[in-house]
Amino acid sequence: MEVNEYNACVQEWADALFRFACKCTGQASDAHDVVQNCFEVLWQKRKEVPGVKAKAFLFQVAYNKSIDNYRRKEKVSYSEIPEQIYTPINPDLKKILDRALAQLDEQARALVLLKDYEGYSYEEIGQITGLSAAQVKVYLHRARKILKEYLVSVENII
Amino acid sequence: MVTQENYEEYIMMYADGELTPAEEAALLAFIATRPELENELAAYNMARFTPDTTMVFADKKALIKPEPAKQIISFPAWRKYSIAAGIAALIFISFFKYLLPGKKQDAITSVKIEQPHIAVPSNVRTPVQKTNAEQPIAIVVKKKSAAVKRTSAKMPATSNIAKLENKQNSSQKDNDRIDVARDWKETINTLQIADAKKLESKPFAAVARVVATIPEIPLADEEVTVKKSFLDNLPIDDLKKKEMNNIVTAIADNLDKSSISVKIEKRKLIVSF
Repeated sequence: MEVNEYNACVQEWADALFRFACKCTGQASDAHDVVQNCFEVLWQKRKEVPGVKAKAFLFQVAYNKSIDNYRRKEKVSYSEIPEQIYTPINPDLKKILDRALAQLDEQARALVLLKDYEGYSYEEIGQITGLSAAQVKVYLHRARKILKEYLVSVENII
Repeated sequence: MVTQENYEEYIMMYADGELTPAEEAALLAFIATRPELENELAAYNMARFTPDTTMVFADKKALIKPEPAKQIISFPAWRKYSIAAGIAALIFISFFKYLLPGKKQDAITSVKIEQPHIAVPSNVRTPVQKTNAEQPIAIVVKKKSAAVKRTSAKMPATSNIAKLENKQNSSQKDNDRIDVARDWKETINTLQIADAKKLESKPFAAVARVVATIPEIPLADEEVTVKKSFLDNLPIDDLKKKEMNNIVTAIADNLDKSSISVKIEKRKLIVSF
């Protein structure tokens, strides 16, 4: 990967990485560090990573960094996410979904975000996370069920 | 197939966007028969997350790496001019070597003229033409014979004769040398006399026999080029060239006449049409 390709990756994927890391870590500052670390690693390994695989490589690094960050802090409080950095379309629904996401473990949360945010297939998620496609499917379905049950519970119905 | 036992897996795969269109249609058809599952499908759909595009990484500039400046290789001024001069020389040489039509005329391999002493006073009409590249050709001045008629009826070159006549009628005598040279080239290229021996046996037959091996020559050549390439390049001496030119001029000047007469030494041939 050449310098111009690396810079194109920054322009194209930095925002998506930041959103993913922000949801995974629960902290905007941690997400910022994760994104910086991702691109540092990409820069160091730019000779080994072809341009077409740069996105998957970045999300793989972001996934690992976010999991490490989460495990280091052991707990994520989504109330710490600064509300002023984004304006959700429906604030009430957004809060409920954030709380629902907080019910998941770090791995399930990452799987759901990779699926819903980036639209990766089971196999692609498996390559990023190091899981098999079958494992991804099972973990994702388990996470979906938790999210659905949270949303349909009487106290969380909008 | 969607059943009561596996519908939940289908719903979750539907939420993941992993169903094929057929599977999706089957699932929706199954749920349509069980209204109680519609809320469940709606809940799974609601549990999907969409990225908030207003959430951006604001410090991209810190991640951007400086790109190396592009190297511009410049030639010295003299090298530019030398390259330009070389290209111009190539074009010049190519023009003279391949583009000048005079080169094509040099392809005439041999022209032999018999009966060199021919004086053509006037009233000469062009003979019948034939398009044959290698054909004994004779210019014959005689009465319009049946053989000539037959040939002209068969040959599509008759229209060429008409063109030639029209062309000659409109030309000026002073400029005939160039025009006639071109027409003479066309004529030689197509001339044919059906029965040369028969004509020679007659007392007033005057024949200038030309045996030429002539390839296809484009008619649109420049006049000056035709003059040089054909007449001047013929492998004959100047006297014969002059005689040939006299024949050509006479034929060209009298194409519209009803009779021609040719005097060869002491003999005279009169042909009326």
